[in-house]
Amino acid sequence: MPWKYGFKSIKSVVRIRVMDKQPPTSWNQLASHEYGFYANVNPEVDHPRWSQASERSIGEGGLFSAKRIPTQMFNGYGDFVADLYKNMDLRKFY
Amino acid sequence: MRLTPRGVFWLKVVLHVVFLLPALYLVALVMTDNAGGDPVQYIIHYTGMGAINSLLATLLISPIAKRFKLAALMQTRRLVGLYVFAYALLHIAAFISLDLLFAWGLLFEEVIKRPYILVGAAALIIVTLLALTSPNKIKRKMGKRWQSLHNWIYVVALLAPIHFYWSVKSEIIEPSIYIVLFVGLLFYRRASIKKWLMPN
Repeated sequence: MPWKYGFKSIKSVVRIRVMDKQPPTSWNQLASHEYGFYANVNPEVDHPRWSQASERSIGEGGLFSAKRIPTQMFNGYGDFVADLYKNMDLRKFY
Repeated sequence: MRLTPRGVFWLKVVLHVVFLLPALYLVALVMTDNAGGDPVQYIIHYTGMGAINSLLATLLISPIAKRFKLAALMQTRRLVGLYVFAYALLHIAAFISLDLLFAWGLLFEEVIKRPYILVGAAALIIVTLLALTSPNKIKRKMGKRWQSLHNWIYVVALLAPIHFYWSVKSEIIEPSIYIVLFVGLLFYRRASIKKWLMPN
């Protein structure tokens, strides 16, 4: 799920179950005011505790050579996945 | 038990070691790649905890001095208080330089938009004023006003744990414990706080 990296998201898939209802998710249960069901980073909407408009990449070069870059919608994978979320208010469904 | 001037000297040496070692340990952790997946976040959290723990230690000194009748212990309080300032300064310096990478516009926006950062910034400003007025020369010059300025440490004792509590996502047990500890230390001083807030 490369378009979700950086959010409370799936790290590995062990099983896929098809549900008739939206299931509860752990981060949404722990902090529902901060984390929604879809776990998408929307650069246009702030996380309650920080801006999501830009990001600092981790692990490239040293501590002092990092750069802040503008965050892209769907982590830059919009061409492949944006249609999954079409007609959704992405401020509400994140 | 009595503290001799020599005893105070060695106690100060020990305190310097106690408060410097964690900073050196952090440097070692970062240099050896043992500071987690995101060392920047690790450094910010670590120095923040350093500041709040030093603050707790500062506020513990006078109750201990009173309880065990060790007036000389008070001579160590400024030293510990300055470590609060030092760790708080490292905390904000790491945030600005390593996390925001000197995006001053973003810093300005964040301070205004996020109440927990505003609370932390307020605490830092107070601690900075206290550190700047800590030399004996300035203390003498300020006379009575020195004590009323330095009573603002009580405000920091509330702001710091609130900043901590507000900055976590869901693990609220640890910050809650700090809030209880600080409120307890303030409650112990309720008489002098009352006198400060209502001088008549």
